Amino acid sequence: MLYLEKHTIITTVLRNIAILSDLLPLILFIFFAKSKKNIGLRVVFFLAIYSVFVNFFILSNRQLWQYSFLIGRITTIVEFSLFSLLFFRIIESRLFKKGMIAISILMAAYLIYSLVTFSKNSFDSVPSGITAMVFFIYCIFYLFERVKDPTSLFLYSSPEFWVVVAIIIYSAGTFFPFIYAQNYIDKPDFENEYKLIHSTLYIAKNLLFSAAMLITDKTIKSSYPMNKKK
Amino acid sequence: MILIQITNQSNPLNISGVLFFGTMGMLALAIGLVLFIIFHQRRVIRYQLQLKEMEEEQQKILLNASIRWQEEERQRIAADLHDDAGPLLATARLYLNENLVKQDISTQLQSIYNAKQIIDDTIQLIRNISHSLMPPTLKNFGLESAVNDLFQKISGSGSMNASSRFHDYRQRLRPEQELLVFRVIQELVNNILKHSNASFIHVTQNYDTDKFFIRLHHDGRGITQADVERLNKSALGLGLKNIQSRARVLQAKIDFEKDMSQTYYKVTLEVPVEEYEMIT
Repeated sequence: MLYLEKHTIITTVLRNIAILSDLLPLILFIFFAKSKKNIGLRVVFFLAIYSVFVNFFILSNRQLWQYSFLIGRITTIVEFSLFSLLFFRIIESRLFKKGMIAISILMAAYLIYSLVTFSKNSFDSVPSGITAMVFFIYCIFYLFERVKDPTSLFLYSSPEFWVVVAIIIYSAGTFFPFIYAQNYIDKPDFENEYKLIHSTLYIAKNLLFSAAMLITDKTIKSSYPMNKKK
Repeated sequence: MILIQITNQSNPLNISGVLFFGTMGMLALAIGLVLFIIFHQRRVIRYQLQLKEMEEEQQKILLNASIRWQEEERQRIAADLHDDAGPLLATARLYLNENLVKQDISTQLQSIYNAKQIIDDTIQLIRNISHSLMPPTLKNFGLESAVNDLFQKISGSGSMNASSRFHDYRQRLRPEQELLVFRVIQELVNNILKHSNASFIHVTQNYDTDKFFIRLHHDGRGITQADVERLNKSALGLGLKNIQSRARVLQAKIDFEKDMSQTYYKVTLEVPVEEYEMIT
């Protein structure tokens, strides 16, 4: 019992830090971002505005807590839209982009369908799980596209890389908690563990987003003729 | 709906373990992937830097070879002027000294005649030096004539049969390109004469849309691309480095290989030419 209480305190603290961590990329973008026109940073900025709005203005009101699952579903849609836009802009393969358009249309239809038809009091495990998987695939493709392209040097000097790293770590880490949440979120043990994992990864994601804000885009293209793209 | 099946079938008792190990596994996979990308990038950068260093080193070797060749050429011209033209003019001066006026008319005429002969020889010598710098046949009649001229001289010596066939040379290259191609052929022929013990040399020329080809065959001891690369790394093969240096100026590709029949050695010079670069 004491262990559970101690555990609950830790998760509550972590959760509060996670909520506050949303402010970090927002402040860094406004005051310190060196490449404000960068698509990766803009996406993070808009996501941070949304998160701050939800966490500080909507969920701060206890009366609105009953809609937290609905807000969760809307958040999934917002995240999916913003990150899809990001990947659409940073991935170069035309074939993959066509695939992305098809996936986006299907996913948008499914997310809206799940928002309208599913119970408002249940966690959106399936949409969140599928979204995480889609992001995971996009991230892997983006990273392998960068590896395949020998002209892109100093990949980790670009803000997009750190945004993608944040997305891949968050998507991979939250995949299992999300798919089990629909059935087990009401169990205190699971809820604690879920909050612990989610809050930790949420903080990590915001820290990586913040790191991206502080990076000047120094992606250098090799001038080697052998490496020039045809 | 695999995800729904997973969520419904799992035993609640094992959920904590699945959640922990599943999350850790996924995180390990994601972090491993990112680390792999970062280390791979670093390796690519290191490899590209190595390539750049190697290319710079190669350029340095070629530049040194070019400078050495220029110095040798200057020394040769200086030696020709000093050892041949100098004594000839000094001798002519001796014939035309101030004592000549005191001599009888026949001696005077003989001296003037001798001096004239020597001056003619000097003129011929200077013309030869000038021709070695820029062959007049090349300037006036083009590469085909210059190569034929060179090969006639080689064949005339009787030690080797040299022949050439220009299949498509209706349009001449630019003068500076022609000179560089001619120098490359000259250097290759020199190397064959010096080292290969060949009984024949045959040069063919072709032109294909935007490429000008010169192929040189011989039946002596030759070298292949592997030998060229080995020689490039050593201080030897000055002539070869000059050839490559000129090929680089021409932005041309030069390939040393053994013929498919394994009987002859073949050198192919492939010069990229734009239509506007050709002169009629």
